[in-house]
Formats: sequence, C-alpha cells, structure tokens
Amino acid sequence: MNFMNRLALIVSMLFPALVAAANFPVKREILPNGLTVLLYPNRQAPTVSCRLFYVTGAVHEVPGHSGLSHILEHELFKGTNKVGVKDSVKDAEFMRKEDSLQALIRPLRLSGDTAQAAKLTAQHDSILNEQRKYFVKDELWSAYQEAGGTGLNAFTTDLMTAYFVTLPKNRIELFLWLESDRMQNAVLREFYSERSVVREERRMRTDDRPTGRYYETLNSLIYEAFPYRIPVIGWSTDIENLTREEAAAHYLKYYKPRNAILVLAGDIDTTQAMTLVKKYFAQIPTGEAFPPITIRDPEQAGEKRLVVWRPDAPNILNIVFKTPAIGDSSLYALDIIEGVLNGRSGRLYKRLVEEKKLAVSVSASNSPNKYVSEFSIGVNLQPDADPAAVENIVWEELNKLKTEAVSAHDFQKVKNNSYASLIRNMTDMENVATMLAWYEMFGDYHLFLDWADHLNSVTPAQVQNVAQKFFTHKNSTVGMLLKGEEK
Amino acid sequence: MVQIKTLSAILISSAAILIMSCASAPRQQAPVATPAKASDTGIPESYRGIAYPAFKYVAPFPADYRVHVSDSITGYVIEDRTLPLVHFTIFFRESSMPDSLKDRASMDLLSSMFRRGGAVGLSSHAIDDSLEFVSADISGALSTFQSHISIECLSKDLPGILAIAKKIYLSPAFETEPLEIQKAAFVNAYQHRYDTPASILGSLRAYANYASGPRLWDANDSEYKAVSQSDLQRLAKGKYNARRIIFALSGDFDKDSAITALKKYFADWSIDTSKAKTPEPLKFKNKPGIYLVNKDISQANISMSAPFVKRPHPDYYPTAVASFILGGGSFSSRLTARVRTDEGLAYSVYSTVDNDYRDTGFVTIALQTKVESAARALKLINEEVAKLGKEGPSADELALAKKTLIESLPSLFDTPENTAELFAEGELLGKKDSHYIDYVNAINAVTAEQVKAMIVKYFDMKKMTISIVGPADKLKSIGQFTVIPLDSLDFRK
Repeated sequence: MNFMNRLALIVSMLFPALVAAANFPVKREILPNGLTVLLYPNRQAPTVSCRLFYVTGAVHEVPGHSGLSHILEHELFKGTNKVGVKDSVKDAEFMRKEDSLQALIRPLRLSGDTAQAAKLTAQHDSILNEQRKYFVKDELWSAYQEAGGTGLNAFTTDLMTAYFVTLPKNRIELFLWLESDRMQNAVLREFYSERSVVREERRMRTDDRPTGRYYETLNSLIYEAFPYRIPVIGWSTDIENLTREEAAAHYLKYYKPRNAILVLAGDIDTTQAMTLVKKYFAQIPTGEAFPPITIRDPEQAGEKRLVVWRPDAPNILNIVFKTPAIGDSSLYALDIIEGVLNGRSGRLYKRLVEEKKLAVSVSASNSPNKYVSEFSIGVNLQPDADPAAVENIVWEELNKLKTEAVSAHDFQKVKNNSYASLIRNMTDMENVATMLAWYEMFGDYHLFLDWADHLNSVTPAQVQNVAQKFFTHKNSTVGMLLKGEEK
Repeated sequence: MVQIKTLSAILISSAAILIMSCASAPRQQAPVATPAKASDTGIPESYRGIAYPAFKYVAPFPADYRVHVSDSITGYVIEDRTLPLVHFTIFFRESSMPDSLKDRASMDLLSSMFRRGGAVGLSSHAIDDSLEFVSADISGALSTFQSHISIECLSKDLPGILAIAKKIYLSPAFETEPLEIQKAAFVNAYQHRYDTPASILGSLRAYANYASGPRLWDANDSEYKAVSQSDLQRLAKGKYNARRIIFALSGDFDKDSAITALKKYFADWSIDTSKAKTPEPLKFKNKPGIYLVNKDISQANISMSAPFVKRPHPDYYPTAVASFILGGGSFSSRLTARVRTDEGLAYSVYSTVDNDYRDTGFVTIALQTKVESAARALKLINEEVAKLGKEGPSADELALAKKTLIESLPSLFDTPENTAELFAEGELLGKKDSHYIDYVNAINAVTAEQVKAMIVKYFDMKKMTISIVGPADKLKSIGQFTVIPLDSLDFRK
C-alpha cells in the first residue's frame, strides 16, 4: 500500500466523526406573524452578515410581466415614506400625477403615436425633476455605508429576492430598522428611469454576451410550462412595459413576514439578537396567504435539442435532465453520480479530456431545487472536436452508471467531498447566511447541514436505479453553442 | 393578433391596478399621517435615533501574529479552531519574466504545469486522485513580482498534503501527457480571447495606454503548441526558492506545534543566492484620445483612464476619497446618481483608483450604455467631473466618503484566512505594521480642497484615453475616434 492509499484509508475511517464534532449552533424561530428567523453565532470577526429573503422571484411572474420581481428589487432601494424623502405627502402627490401620465403614455406608445407620447413623457419627467427636490437621494444606501456596511446589495432569482449587508457587530439594529421599514413602507420612486436601467442591465448581462441568449433559450426549452422558463431579468419587451402599479402590487402581495426569512450570521448574542428582531418585526401584519404554485411541466414528450452557431461562441455542449424536487431521496444518489463524473479523477475528464482529447474541461452538476431539480453535464469542446462524438461519450459514461456498480472508493470520495464542502461553506458568514436561508426556503435548513450525512445511506443499487430512471434521451435537453458562422 | 389582445388585457389590468394603487397610496403612507408611536414599540422614529452599543473597532496588528522561521522566512499564523480546516499560502518574492517573446508561452504554461505535471516519484494522476479523494486543494502561480503556493485542506490531512505540495514544487516532473492537455487549453483560451466585449475592452485599454514591452508580451497559439518539457525544465530553475518567503497560515491547529512543524518543513527548502531580477516598470504611451474596437453589439462598453501613482504616494488617499464621491461610492456617488439614477442610461457606471505598490496605476471611469446614449452619457460624465473639480464636494459628501472608507475596515479582516493573507501580502508590499492605523488617520485628514485638486489633477478628461467596444457606425456622435483592428491588440513586440 503506497503513501497516498494509506492517507485515503485513514481519511475514510476518520472523516464522519471529525465532521460530527463540528458545531453549527443555528437558532431558528418562526414569529407568530410567520417571519422565519435564523441566527448563527460566529466570532471570527466583529461583523454580522445580515440578510432578508423574500420567497418570491420569477416563478411568481406571468407572461407579459417577466422581470417584475427583479425591477421591484431595484426599486426597493429608492426609499420608503420615512427614508429618502423630505415631505412624503408632497412626494405622494407627485407620484399620483406621474402615474396618471404614464397611464396615458402607455396606450399612445403602443398605438405608435410617438409625438404625443414624447410630449407627455416630457411632462412626466418635468414633474419627476420637481419631485426630486423632495428626495434625500439614496438615503438607504448611504445609511448602511456610513455605518460601515459592506457587501451591500440585493439579488433576484427564480425563487427568492434577497437584500443584504454586512455590518459591524454593534449595528445590526440599523439593519432591522431599515428592513422592517422597507418591508412595510416602500415607495417605488423613479420607476420609469429605473426601467431603463434594467434594460441596460439586460443588454449587458444577456443581449451582448455570447452565451446570454443561448442559456435563456435553453432554459425555455427545458421548462415547457413551469415558470423556471422565465428569465429573471425579464424579456426585453416585458421590461419596457412594466408599470409601477404592477410592481407595487407584487410588493404588497409578497413582501410580508409570512413570506420572508431573516438571517443574521456572525458576531451576535442569539438571545439579544432575537429580542431585537422581535422588536422590529413582530408587530408587522402577517400578510394574506396566496395560493401555491400548482403548474408543473407535463411529462417530457421526447429529447429536445438546441444548436446555436456564433462566431464568438465558447464552443460548449450541455445535456440537462430534469430530476425530482428537493426532499426526494434520489437526489442523494445523483450526488454520488456527480462526484463520480466530476474532477480530474472523474470519469468524464478521463474520457473526454485525457483519453479522447475532445474537451478542454467538463463538469457534472446535481442541482437540487424546489419544485423540480436538474442534473446537467457541461463540456467545453476542443476547437476541432465533433460535438456528436462528445455527446456519444457522455452517453456511454451515463449508461455505464446504469449497469456497473460504483466502487466503494468512489463512494467514499464523494462522501469526503460532500463533508468538506459543508465545512467550506461555513467559513464565510455571507455564504452561511445565504445557504441557511436557501435551504430553509426549500423546507428546512437542516437539509443543508445534513446533506453529507444522507449520502451515507445511499447504496450502489440506488445509484444504478436513478441513472436508469433519469438518464434517458426522452428526459434530456441537449444544447450546443458552437463557434462558427450563424446558420 | 393573440399578442395584441394579450397586451390590451394587460393594459386594462394595469389601469385597474393604477386606480387601486392611487386609492391605496395614503394607506401605504399611513405612518406619516398617523405615525407609529415610538413609546409603544420602542422603535425610534428615525434610524438616526438608534442608540448603538459601544464598540470601537481596532484592526488586528500584524506583529501580534508574525512568526520568524529563519532570516529569509517569516509568516503570519492565526489559530482558529472553529472549523476543521486549514489555509496555508506561501508567497515567494521572486519575478517570473521571460527574457524573450518565444519564452512567453512556456512561462505561461510553467505557472500551471508545476501543479499539473506531477512530481518526481509521484505521478500527476496519483496527485489528482489523492487530493480529490480528501477534497484538498493545492495550487500555485508565478507572476511578475511574486510566486505563491496555496494549500487548503481539512486539518487532519495537513501533514500529508504539505508533503505532496513540497514534492510538487521542489521536484516537478512536467509530464508530457498533462503538458499536451494544458497546451490545448491555452490554445483554446487564445482562440476565444476576444469573444466577449469585456475581454476586448480589457485588451483595448492596455493597448491604448501602454507602450509595448516584455511585461506585456502575449504568446500566440502556435507558440503554445511548440512548448516542450525541456522548455519548462529550463525556465523552472530557481522558481519557488526560499530567498524570501512570507507565508500565511490560518485555521485548526495548535500554533506552537505548527511553528515547530513549519521550521522543519522549510529547513530543506532550496535557497537560490543569485541576484533576483527586478522587472522593468511599465511604460505609458501618453496618447489621449478615443480608441474603438468595432463590434456589432447593442451597448458601448467604455473605459476612460489616465495614469495615477505608484504607492506609497501622498495623493493616494485624497484621490481615493475623491473617487468615492465621483463614482466609487456606488449609489452615493455623483456619476451613479446622474447617469444611472437620474437618466437611466447605464446599469453600471463607476470610477476607481488603482491601489498599486508596484507600478503606476490608473484612475478609471467605466460604464456600459446603449449605443444611442453613449454621447449623452459621456457628456454627463464630463459635466460631473468638471463640477466636482470646480466646486468640490459638499460637507455631507466628504463626511460620508470618509466614514464609509473607515467604518468598512472590519470587512477586510472577516476571516482568519483573509487576515493572515492580508498581513503576508502587506509585508511583501512593504506596508508598515501601523498601516491600518495610518489609513484611518490619512482618510480623516482629507480636505474638500484636496478632493477638488485631485479631481482636476487625475480625472482630467483631456489627458484620458477613452477605450470603447461597440459598433463604429452607430457611435459617430461621440466624436473622432481611432478604430483599432482586433488583431492588433496582442502585445508582440
């Protein structure tokens, strides 16, 4: 037995016990109004990562209104009726005038009466400029900054919209004040200039990137009915037509305690922190219940394919399989498969990069998610590689998993990596806060902390079963973004 | 037809929501009409009324963590038993510069081939298999001013991983099979180097500002293909030597035992006593103007820059404060307020000042905006720069900038790993132990007059190069520009 094998054996025996010794003292409480609070104390730095998640995103959008969650996220930095304004009564008057003008402008634009639309837009802008005299510009942002807030930002995804900042440990009350205010009193100022900002964001992130439209199209191919097919940033024509009233309705519906998860991770006393959270959030009304998302994709009718040629394409191949929602035990077996395929010691790298020299890099990804998950393979092709040959080899490796049992060594490698991944995820408090909230949204943050433990119960037969069940052509969507002239 | 009907339906919905929204607006703003009573809830009316617990942050002091291993080896050690993880980075003060253009490709590959090419008595496959089995990571890189080796692993694996790292970097094998794979990867990267607007803009900015020279040489695909094992062996001599090592170790270990182990670890590390090479400074072209690479995209990707200073320099802190107010402070800054918030012309618009201790850095203003609004955005930027240079900042702006820059100090030291690495890199750059105390004092001392002066001195638009990637035929309104062919962006002289 050589040195490396000895090392591996020692690791495989000791690993679970060592990880079990690690302590992740998460405190969870659900307030009577439904707000979920997660607190994670860690004193590695005198700072606290503060995050407030709303369980809403593109999944709550309907055709013609894509991008609504995202533009609302932008808008929620414009202040409230307490923050960012000198006279909120006058402010509201201006906004009513602006909304009335926009209601006239929209049909004019759609009917092609650009001259009249421009005239009214100029009136609107004039009122807005007058209104700006009553603004305290970007006060919310400045309030966090001058308190030492870093990593200040927000993001929107399919499922969640998050607002976050890291603050010195004595300033968490600022976060609670500002966010409890933002949850109740937001005022969506400057909506229409912000809509232009989002259009620029889309141009930058999607339209002008070689991969932008490819992934957007691939996504809409994978999901036929389920709203994961909706791009979070929104379709261009939708963004252009979103209204402040729609964003306000979205805010009033989803930005409620019952639909929110608040996380503080860092240098906190959990008892004191929970008291403070209750002081600011406990009295906020729960919010009305809204119906669950019932739409689901029908059973896939057959293999789906997308081929895009561009001169500036990165030469990539994707194969995506839909898999069950988080909570289904097959996802643990799929994690074993991901680990067996991945890395330079993994099967795909050995076949495609080392042996056949068809790929520059390759990765497999088991992505657990709410409602429906994905297992995907991504290959960066060599310039002269035949995509069909690459695809065949990927299928060969996937098919092997259906008939040949994964070795004990490979099993152990995946388990070791899963445990180590958990440890690494706990080093950065911003990441800790996000991971806890994400899995809490999935159903329970323990899903995240216990993920590695669940791999211990997976058997080789289960791995073969999930491979047989999910890795079929009928269940696949294949995408290729290839370098060459458009066809 | 269906689409038009759908749109009509949406408009009707919107109108309905509009009415509801108007009606509900006063309810939304109820706290103004019927303010919540602070006495009922204990919540102050304004966030400015919050009474915070006392806390005075004092940045950690490098000397408290410094350990002396030998005359040429020092390090920073932070014990943290929270998680069973260790981070270890070894910095080497050495330069990796090719003497001729034909060695550029070999030097690029050498940086990755130390790790990828196996070691004497330990194949590349064995290394990959072993590290991936225990989820450990070893990586390294050679660069112009320093080299480094980084190790991350679970604490129980550290002794074994350290032994592997030593073999990799002191007895590299540069096996031919991984070399061919790496060469293919570099050729591929070369062929895709100008695929995105951002990658073109980065190269155009360098083209517009720097005179060609060895520091900037780019290899091409045929040169990557021609690299041989013997090229790597020749260039590897003297790399990762212990002439001057500064390391950062943090995580789950006993500090005293770790120091003892490190003394032993470095004891047989080779020391090359030959004189170290000093890289030539980068040379500027100093040819202001507008340079454009033609690409059929919807936005103009713009980067405006001018030479700044090499640190330490008395202008650095005043300019950092000035840039925060101009465009570095995100929503609090003037460029964001004017170009993004007021006019909706860009998602991203900002200014930066380079924090460079080795070369003269740049001041930069950058943005992306649709081609139709590029001229307008540039006009607004010009106006804001001129205004700040003429009138200076308001007292509130200056206070916010200073407070933000000072109060964000704790975020630099958010993990033991970051703290240890910051100290090690600080020593490499010659920073004093009092650096973060001096930082606070220096920021506090900046005056409004200095802000004005720095804007005028460094953000002078007439002295800037303006690099743009976008469609030339739609950008004529921005003024005269020089179109730069994409294939001339590589530095080959």
